[in-house]
Amino acid sequence: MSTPHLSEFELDRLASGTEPTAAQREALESSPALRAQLEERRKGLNAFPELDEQRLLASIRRRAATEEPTVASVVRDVSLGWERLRFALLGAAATLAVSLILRSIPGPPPKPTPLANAPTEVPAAAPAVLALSDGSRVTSGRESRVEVERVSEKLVALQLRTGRASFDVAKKPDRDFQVRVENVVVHVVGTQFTVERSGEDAKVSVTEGRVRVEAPSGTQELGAGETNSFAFVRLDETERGNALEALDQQLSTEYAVADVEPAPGPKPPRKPPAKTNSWQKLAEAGEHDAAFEALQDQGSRVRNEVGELMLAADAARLSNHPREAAGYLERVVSEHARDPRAASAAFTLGGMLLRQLREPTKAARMFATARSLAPNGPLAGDALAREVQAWSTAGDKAKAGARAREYLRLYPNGARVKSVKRFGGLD
Amino acid sequence: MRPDDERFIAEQFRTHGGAVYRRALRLLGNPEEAEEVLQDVFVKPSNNIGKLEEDTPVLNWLYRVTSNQCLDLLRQRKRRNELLEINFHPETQHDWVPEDALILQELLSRLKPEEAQAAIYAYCDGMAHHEIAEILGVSRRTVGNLLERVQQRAQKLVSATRLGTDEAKA
Repeated sequence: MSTPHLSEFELDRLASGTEPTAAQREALESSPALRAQLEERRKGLNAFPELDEQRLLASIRRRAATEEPTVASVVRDVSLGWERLRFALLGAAATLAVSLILRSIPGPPPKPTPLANAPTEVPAAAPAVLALSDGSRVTSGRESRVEVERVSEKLVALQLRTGRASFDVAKKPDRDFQVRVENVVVHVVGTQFTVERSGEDAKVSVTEGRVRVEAPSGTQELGAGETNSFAFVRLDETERGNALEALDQQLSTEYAVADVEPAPGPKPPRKPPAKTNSWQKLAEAGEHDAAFEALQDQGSRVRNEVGELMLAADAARLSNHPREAAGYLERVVSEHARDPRAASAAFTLGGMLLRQLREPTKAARMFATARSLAPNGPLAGDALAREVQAWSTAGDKAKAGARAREYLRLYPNGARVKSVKRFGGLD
Repeated sequence: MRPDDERFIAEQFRTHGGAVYRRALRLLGNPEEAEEVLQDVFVKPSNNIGKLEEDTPVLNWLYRVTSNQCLDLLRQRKRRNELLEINFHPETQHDWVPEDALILQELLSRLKPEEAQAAIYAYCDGMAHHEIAEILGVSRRTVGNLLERVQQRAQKLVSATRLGTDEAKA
């Protein structure tokens, strides 16, 4: 007789008050464990001591007052659906566009944003204020210019063209809020900060919260009270087009973009013609064969940036082109060794060298590299186990045995103990 | 928000909040993200979901919304080191071997949305095809087709990623 079973969905449905079917009743009657699971689910959120139902509900009410649509509105008005969401997004876009158009008109007094390290050359005249529909505010001086590059529910990207602007960003964890100065990008979760464009530097001062700044010199996080200057390189038209294309890939929805008008004043260079089937988009969509084909067509369009190299490696690897994938991964490991993704790139490369490219000695060394790049990382144990396997496959029993003993010492209860003993000759 | 909206949200939240949170926690393995999803689901559930049909039970619909929100997060976490950091943080350690979990999460992040939903319902939730069909609002035949495609993609990913099955036999 099989063990009585109810799926997650069945349990949740019963917990919400649905009458059990005969089979479900029978399963519950014959299994105390299932009854206990059902009782646990009937407690709702009270089953989770880490959650405060009242606090969460208050937070949902606050957010629901400003964000559309809510469960209530969707359930009540089933005819709205996508149109409503689209309308809400277009509303956000329109707010930005209108605010930008009104920039030449003196706005309301800006919200004070005292900065410990505020530059002294802030224009005294009434600054312009952008009010975003999510509650974020951008305050900039009269001589400053902020342009909206992209806006959607999940992404807001602004470009500081000249001068200085302060940003009071509403906390919204699922939205990437970016302020860009050429190729310096400030990523924000929810905070107050200022960006000043001066000469070839972008100066970032944080009042509250934290920001992550991606600059040619590297990535740095700044916390409250911290200021730093980041040298930028002026982007040419092609690079700017690539940057905008990268933003487009980040957009989860497309319709918000088309309705945002650029800021008054000189128009930014137009984005190059959209490549609806760019290799990046295809790879992101899991169409690896097509992505690799497009990648080959586009020759050297893979930028020397870890995310893009990893994506290209995936496209090649998953379309059965291990040699080409190895090339991209090698670049990550050798040219971006300090990036936290380098260890997993090395691990993946080790696997390909061992299994697909039949180069076990190189594989063993690459697994060792993976471990050395992140000795306390989550893949360290697996990398050591794979190194044992690779040395064994290469016929170097001494090294396989030595690494196997090291694994057993470091991970006596590790998941790979059995295979490590076998490949290390310690059975 | 209108007063009756508030009442409705509170009622649905109290009835189904536990199911939503449990589901998000199960799929994401991270309490903080699961809490975010719980709030998002009740504040802004329309993302990629389409309309709630009049005869669709709210729980079915919330399952879809929650799964979709979680899948969105998984797609955003495509970078392998992020997957590792989030899912193998000491506080959320579980029994999976990191490499295997990585492959599974990578698979989920690469599947088309409807395939990923079907995969989660079938393989994580252990639902029968008719239940999946009910939640997704499609036929059982479509569910079968979706799962077949999932298996094909999974085989491809695993063969390209894993080092072989010999260690499993060891």
